[in-house]
Amino acid sequence: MREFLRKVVGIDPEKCAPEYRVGYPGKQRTLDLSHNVILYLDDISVSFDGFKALNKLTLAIDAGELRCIIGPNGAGKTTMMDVITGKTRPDSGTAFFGQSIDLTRLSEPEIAHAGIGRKFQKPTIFQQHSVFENLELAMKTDKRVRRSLLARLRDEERDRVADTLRQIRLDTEAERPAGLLARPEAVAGNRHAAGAGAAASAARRTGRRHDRR
Amino acid sequence: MTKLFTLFLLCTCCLSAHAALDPGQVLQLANEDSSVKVAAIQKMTEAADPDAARVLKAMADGQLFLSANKVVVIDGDKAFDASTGEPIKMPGNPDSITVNNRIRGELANALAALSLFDKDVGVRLASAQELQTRVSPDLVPVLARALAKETDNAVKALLKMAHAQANLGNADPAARLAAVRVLSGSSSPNIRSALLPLTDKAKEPDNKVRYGAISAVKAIDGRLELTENLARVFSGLSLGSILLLAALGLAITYGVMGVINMAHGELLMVGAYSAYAVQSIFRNYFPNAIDWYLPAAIPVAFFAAALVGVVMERTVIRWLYGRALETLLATWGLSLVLIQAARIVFGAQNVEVSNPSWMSGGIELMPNLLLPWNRLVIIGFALFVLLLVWVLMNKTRLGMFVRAVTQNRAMAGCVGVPTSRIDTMAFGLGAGIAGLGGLALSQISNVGPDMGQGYIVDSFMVVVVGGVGQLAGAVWAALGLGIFTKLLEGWAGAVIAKIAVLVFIIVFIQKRPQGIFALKGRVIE
Amino acid sequence: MEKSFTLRVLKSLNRKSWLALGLFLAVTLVVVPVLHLLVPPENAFHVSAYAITLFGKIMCYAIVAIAMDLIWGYGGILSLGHGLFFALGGYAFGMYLMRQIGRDGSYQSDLPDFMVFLDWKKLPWYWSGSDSLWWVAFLVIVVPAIVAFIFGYFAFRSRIKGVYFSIITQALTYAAMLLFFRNETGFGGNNGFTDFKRILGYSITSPDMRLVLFGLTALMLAATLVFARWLVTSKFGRVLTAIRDAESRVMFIGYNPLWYKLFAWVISAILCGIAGALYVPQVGIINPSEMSPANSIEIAIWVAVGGRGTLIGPVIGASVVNLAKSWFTVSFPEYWLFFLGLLFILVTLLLPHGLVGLWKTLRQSRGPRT
Repeated sequence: MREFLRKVVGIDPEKCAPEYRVGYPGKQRTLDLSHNVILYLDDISVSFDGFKALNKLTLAIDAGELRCIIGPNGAGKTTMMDVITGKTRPDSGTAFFGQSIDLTRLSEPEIAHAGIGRKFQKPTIFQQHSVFENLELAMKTDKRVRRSLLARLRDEERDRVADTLRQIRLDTEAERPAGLLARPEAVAGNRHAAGAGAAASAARRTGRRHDRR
Repeated sequence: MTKLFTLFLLCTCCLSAHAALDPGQVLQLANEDSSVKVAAIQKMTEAADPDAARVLKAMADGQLFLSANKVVVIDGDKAFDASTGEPIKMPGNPDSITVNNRIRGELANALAALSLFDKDVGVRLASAQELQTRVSPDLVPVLARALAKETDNAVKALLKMAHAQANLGNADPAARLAAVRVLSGSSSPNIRSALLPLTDKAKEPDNKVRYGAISAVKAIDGRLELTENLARVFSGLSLGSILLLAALGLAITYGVMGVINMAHGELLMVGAYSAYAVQSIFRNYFPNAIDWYLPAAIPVAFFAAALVGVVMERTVIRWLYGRALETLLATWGLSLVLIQAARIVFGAQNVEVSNPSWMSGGIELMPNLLLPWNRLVIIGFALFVLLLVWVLMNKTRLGMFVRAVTQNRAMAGCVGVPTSRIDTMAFGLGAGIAGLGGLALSQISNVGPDMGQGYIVDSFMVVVVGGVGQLAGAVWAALGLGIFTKLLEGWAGAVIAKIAVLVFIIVFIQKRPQGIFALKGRVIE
Repeated sequence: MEKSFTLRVLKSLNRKSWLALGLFLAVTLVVVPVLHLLVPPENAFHVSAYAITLFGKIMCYAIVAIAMDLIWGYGGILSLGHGLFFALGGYAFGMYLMRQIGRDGSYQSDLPDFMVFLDWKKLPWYWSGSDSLWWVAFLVIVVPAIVAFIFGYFAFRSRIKGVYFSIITQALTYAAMLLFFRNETGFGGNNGFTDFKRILGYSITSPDMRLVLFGLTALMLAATLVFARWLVTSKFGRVLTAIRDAESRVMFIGYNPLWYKLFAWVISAILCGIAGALYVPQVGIINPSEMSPANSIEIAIWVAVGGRGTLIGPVIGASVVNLAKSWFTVSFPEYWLFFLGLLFILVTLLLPHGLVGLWKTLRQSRGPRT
């Protein structure tokens, strides 16, 4: 449970205070949890050329709560995720992260910074990058151009990636291109094939943001 | 009554035909002073004498000479007395009579005025049309008489204008005012410039006439602007139809199949060269039917371009499906090869493709507004090709298969659609349509190896603005871009208009990356 | 920090690469000048002026190819408008060269000949300062950068990608070409700039000046290689390739692709501008046809032939294609387009990783046996 919360919103429930800073240093937003609601969707409607994908959806998720959204095809699960992560702008309605962060006004990267991550239906990894680099890219850090140009991995960051690699048992494959792991025929044994998915989810874990769809 | 009157006039004409001209007056034609000559010409015109026409015609042709104080007409080795028209002995050394430009203009008008009394309506119409510019005030009586006698409505309308123009120089303000009123109904720039002096206080003392002239000029300006705008819209439509023809093939290959074909312009070129080849064959083997080479070229252009397209698809494009940027580069390479091939086969120079005679000329909707037949035919042809594409894509099995394959290739394969053959056929179809476009282009622009390069940017713009996969979008985009370009050209010049359109498109794509008619939807990633 | 940065730049190339780079500079800065100036023309080792101009030109193209590779090979953005930035740099420097002609033009006026021809009485405002080499050098960098920034900002912000982006860059360079073809634009219309006389008062056709330009180009090429190497091995480079491979995922782990792409795009444009500025004095002419869509798309084929996504690939590709071009256009002018066209087709069909990729495959397949 605690583990999952950490994944969903990048928040450790133990540290959960009414005011919580999220985002990387230099571009922080305040996550206001004073009413104990972490995600609040109100009256959200989305239509695509007349087709109503979401019709006045209202949903509130408390801090520390785990919710699973299920439904048949076309029920609007993905559209809801798109609204939360900024991929789709709702035609009407509001979406708030905590009390103060208006998700409908932020871009996808800004929402990711605020602490909401997502994973896609198709597994997506950076195939040309090594397993290590996949984790490095996902890591929580300052992600602006200026920083990236001069960025170097600090020792504790390197350790954290190494820990994650050990945890998902890919420490021996750290320097291999991730694309090679994703192709079962390229590598022998099931362990590696499973490892590819694990690499992706580990990347999320280190980034501490995750959503499921 | 009119009949009687005409009869009477005819009789007087016949009678006067035998009456000789006044030799003194004829002699004035040979005067040193141009003004005297002009006065004499006008006097003779007023009399509306067929003999006068004969002498003036001779004068205009430079056959009038002065010999021993007598004016003679010398035609080749024969000589006639100018005033009587009787043959005479060839004079010794005749002096030629100088005809300068002023006299020449006067003569043209005089001859036109004289032929207003011709029996043939066609001749009368032609001479009335002649009399629409710089009509001298001295023609007023002739014109009045001609007007009174005229029975044909078209000639009458023209004569009214000519009469009014002649009256503009009338000393009587009331007559000038009446003339201005008549002329304000015109829509010709010539009449506008004839009225212009009357709006000037220095030249027109009478206030009423001046105000009348000012409002008449305004009315004409309004009408001129209207025709100008109509002409612009028409040339916009024409450009739009050309863009549409160039882009329709692309709407299939790129819009529907998603293949980015940079050699599309060269498929147009193949179509245009087909027209040239068919024309050459007709010239050599069926010179009598040369006017009909164009219809014969339609299937040739379609199948030649389709064949090239099929070969392209089978050899290159097929291996690159799903790799858009590579397709772009490879098809660019194909375009270079095709250009060079055309240079080697047909030469680097532009070849001459001529319009069939039935496509030359045009319909004159208004004075100043001529709709050329070749443009009209191309607009019609564009509609025909559009209909063809629409029917093929929406009403035939092939079209259904193409749409199925492009929407979901795997599923189409599962239900038994031969996907790879459909790809080839669809690409061939798009290429063939491009060939038809090239055939149309051959009628209005240069046909040369590089001709396709000029259209590639434009056709992509049409498809992109219209929205990928949308035939209707391509139509609206082509017409819209065509008219927009021509209207801009009206006040900014061709190059600036072109740049403005490109910039507009760049901005437009930023705002609506999916084009005008794109469907919104959830993109699955 | 400063020290570690230099160190990292140094470390971004391995020992072999530094050696190769040093060798390249030694040849271009020492051997070629010696062979050109000191060895008599009849000697077999003499390097002719023609060869120096040709290789100087090719090195300019190589810089452009690296610039193209940065955004296409690493960023996955195919530009069909890079000729525009190249030409803008060339025109900016050409302005200086035109001013250096002074009164030696055919009208003996202070104004460039084409302005006298158009009956202009004074220089347009955007020509002001063009007699200063420093101001012009500034323009060479800033003008392409500004154009690229404005265009790129709007294009990337609207998430225009793939073929759409390629086509509108083509429209952009096409529009610019039409603009520069106009006499009223103030850049010499059809004929562009030519008949240059001198730089900083030194004759532009003298052997010394030729070698200076050649050497500068070689230095610039080497610097571009080191810079590009450092850029693509930095974290920035990793994010850029990540954007190429899976842009939406990059976005959802918190990087804003707009700024990454825009940065790479502007850097690429600046490199093209510098290459253009070095190109113009060596070739002696710049005209609007440099902006034609065909020229820009040719840049892409240099990169594709060499192998995109590597840095040595574009250099090899630009050299091979342009050497072939200068050979073909002299020996078989009518077959050059066939060759170029087939090159486009065959490389995309058979050599997706270019010559470098081919070399790697050959070495790998031979490796186990030997």
